[in-house]
Amino acid sequence: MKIKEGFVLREVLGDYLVVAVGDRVKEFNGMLTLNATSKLIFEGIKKGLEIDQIADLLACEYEISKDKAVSDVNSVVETFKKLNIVE
Amino acid sequence: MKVCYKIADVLIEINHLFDSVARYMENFALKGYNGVCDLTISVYRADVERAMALYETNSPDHGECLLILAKIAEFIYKNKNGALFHSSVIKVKNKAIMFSAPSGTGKSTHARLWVDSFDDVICLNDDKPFIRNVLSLPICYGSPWQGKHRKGVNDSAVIEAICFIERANEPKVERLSAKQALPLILNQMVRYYENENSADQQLEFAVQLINSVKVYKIYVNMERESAIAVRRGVLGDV
Repeated sequence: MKIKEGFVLREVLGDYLVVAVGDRVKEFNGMLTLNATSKLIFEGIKKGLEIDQIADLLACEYEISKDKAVSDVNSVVETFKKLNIVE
Repeated sequence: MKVCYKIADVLIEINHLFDSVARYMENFALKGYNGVCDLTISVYRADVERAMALYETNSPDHGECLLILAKIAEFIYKNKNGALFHSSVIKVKNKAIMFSAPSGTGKSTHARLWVDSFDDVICLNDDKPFIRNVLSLPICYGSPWQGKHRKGVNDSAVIEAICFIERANEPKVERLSAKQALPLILNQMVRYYENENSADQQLEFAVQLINSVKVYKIYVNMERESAIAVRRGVLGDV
């Protein structure tokens, strides 16, 4: 799984925004605001980490159980899939 | 037909294909000017045909008109720290107040309420003004593209406020935070996210704009009371 080429994450006014650049703008002309959790997941995917590894990061960062972390990562990944941000 | 224009304080030489487009833009022409321009646009038939397909119009002169607008907007964005900002703008007390909303929401109607209600208000541009950050001042400029009612003047003013309109029964004014304003501002600007650098440039421009103007959500109806309520909320002088 990876973030499709042309999606970039930026911190603007304290918010985390995903915008499309280049040819990707034709299919995604809006922007997505991420909270801190989904930003961490976006960055994890961008780095090429597996869901399990991202869940470990999340569990450590927020002191939650591994099961809860896996569930959270899967939920955010599903949203990214629906928005065609990941492939 | 070659004509020089000054639009948003940018000198532009245009070699028109259609004289009708030069007439459409004539209020912004610099008659008799033969000096150096910042931008030269030569319109060719093939460009117009591409523009007609892109903007879904059957009219060649309308195609040329939109092609010129797109080229000027791109130049101003890339070279003049500015943007085309879809809105209806009034000028009052030498300040610009911009009304923005999706098409059909009533930005022109609300601007007209101000013009009809107050003697010191004129319509600066009814559809496609330019904004630029000039020496840290946010300036709004009229343009030849003035909407279907063709309302506007060749003038400019420092932007006092940008108001995003929503229809409501009772008028109300809410000041927006920078975070609330950001998506609304970005949605009304033509985007040139060709690569990461150009996206960063435009996001930075939006942040500069938000930090230098007041941004409001205004809830308005079609009555004069809306203009009075918004003026009271934004300028506080009625």
